[in-house]
Amino acid sequence: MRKLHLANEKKRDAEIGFESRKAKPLATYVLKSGKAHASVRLLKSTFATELDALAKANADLAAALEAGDPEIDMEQEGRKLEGLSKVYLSADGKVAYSVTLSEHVHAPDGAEKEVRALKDTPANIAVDGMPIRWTGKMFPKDAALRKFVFVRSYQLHHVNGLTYDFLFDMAKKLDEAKSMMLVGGGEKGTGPLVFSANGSAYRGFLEGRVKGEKYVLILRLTNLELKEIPNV
Amino acid sequence: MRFYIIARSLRAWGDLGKIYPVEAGTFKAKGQIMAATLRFKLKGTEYEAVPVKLERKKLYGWTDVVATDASGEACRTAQVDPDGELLIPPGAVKLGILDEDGAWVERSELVAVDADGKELPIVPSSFGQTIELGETATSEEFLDHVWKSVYQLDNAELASALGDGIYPFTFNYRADASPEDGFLLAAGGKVFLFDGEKSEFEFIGLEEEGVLDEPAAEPEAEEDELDFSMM
Repeated sequence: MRKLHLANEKKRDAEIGFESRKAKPLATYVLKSGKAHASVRLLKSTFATELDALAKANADLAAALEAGDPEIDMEQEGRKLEGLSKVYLSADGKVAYSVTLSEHVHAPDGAEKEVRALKDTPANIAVDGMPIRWTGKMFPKDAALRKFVFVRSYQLHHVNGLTYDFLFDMAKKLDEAKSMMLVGGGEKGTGPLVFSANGSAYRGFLEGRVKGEKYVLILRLTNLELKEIPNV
Repeated sequence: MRFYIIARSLRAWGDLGKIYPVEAGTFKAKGQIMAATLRFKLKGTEYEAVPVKLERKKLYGWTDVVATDASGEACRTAQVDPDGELLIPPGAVKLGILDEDGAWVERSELVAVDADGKELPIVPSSFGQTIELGETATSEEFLDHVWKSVYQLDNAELASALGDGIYPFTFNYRADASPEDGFLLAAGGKVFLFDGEKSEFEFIGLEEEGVLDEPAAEPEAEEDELDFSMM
C-alpha cells in the first residue's frame, strides 16, 4: 500500500496508506485450443522503409513498389521488441545526446500560446512536513459530480489504531455533511496533487462514509471539469 | 496519378507487401468516419444524440514537449532497442498476440470466459439500439466508478427530461463480452454520458490495518558516530 501524508482540519497530520480498488474484470480472453497466448510488441517498419525514405531512394516509387518489396525490411520487420528506450534524433537522423527540452503550450484551437523551459515536478503526496491539507472548501456530492469528472479514486487506509481514529473522524464528518472536501498539496496546501515525479497533476477531493464503527474514506482525483466543449 | 494502399498491418501478415491499386477519390482520409448516434428511451419518449468525447485538450488545450539539439534544431523522437543498434521510428511498434508456439493469433480467435471458464456471450454495441432508461442511481453508486470515457450529448429535450436524475444503463461502445457501466446525467444544459467500471470500496474497521510498502532502498546512512573531538 502506497504512503500518503494527510492532515485533518485541525492541521494534525499522519502517514496513512492508499490503494486503488478497481473491480476485477469479468471476462478473461482465452484461445479455444487451450493454448496459452501473450501480447507482444512487434516491429512494423524501420526508418529505411518509411515513406519519405522510400521516396528519396526511388525516383519512381510506384514502379519500385510494383517491381519489388522495398517497403519491407525482411530482416527486421515482425521482430519482437522489448526494453525499448526513448531517444531524440537530430535532423540528420543521428542520436542527439544533448538536448534542451521545452514545453509548447497550445490553446484548444491549436494556436501556440507559450513556450517555456521544461521543469521537473516532484511528487507531493508523501513529503515530510508538507501534508495534503483540507482547504475548507466543501462541495455537496451531487454538485461535485456535476462539476468535475473524477478520473481516479483511491481508498485511504489506516495503518494503526491512531490513524484509524484520524481517518474515521474525517469520514464521519464528511458523511454527515454529505459533501466532499477539496484537499491540496504543496507548501500552502492548496496546490494540485502529484502522485509521481513529473506525473499528472490532479485536484483532490475527500469523500467519506460511515457504517457503525467502519468507514470508507476515498480520495477522488480530477483534472477535467464537466462542462460544454466549445465549438462542437 | 496512381494511388496505392500497401498492406502494412502485422495483423494481415499474410497480405504483407501486397499492393492494392485504388482509384482517386474512393478512399476517405482518417477522421472522416460518419458520427454514430445513440438512441435513448425515457418515460416512453425516444431521444437521439451524437456522443462527442470530452477531453482535456478540447477544454484547456495541450502541451507538447519539444527537444532541440545543440544547434537549436528540433529533434524527432524514436525508440532504440536495448543493444542500441536498432532505431525505431514513431508508430513503428505494434501490439500483436502470439500463441505459445509463436504463431500469430487474430483477436477474433480469442473467446471471453468468466472466472469458471464458461464462455461469455457477445453483447451488441449500444449504437443502433434503443437504450432504455429506468431507475435512477444514487450519487454514491455513480461516484464509485472509474471512468474510461465521458461524452457530451447535445439534446436539450433529453437534458430537460433527465432533470436531476442519474440514469444507469449497460453501455458497450463496440460489440464484445465486456459491457461497461454507463450513466447519463444533465449538467449545465448538456447531457453527459459516463462510461466506466465499478470500483469496490469496502467499509473497514479498526482491525483491518493496512501495511505500507517498504520505501525504496535508500543509500545507507553513515554510522552516526559521536564526535568526541569537538568536546
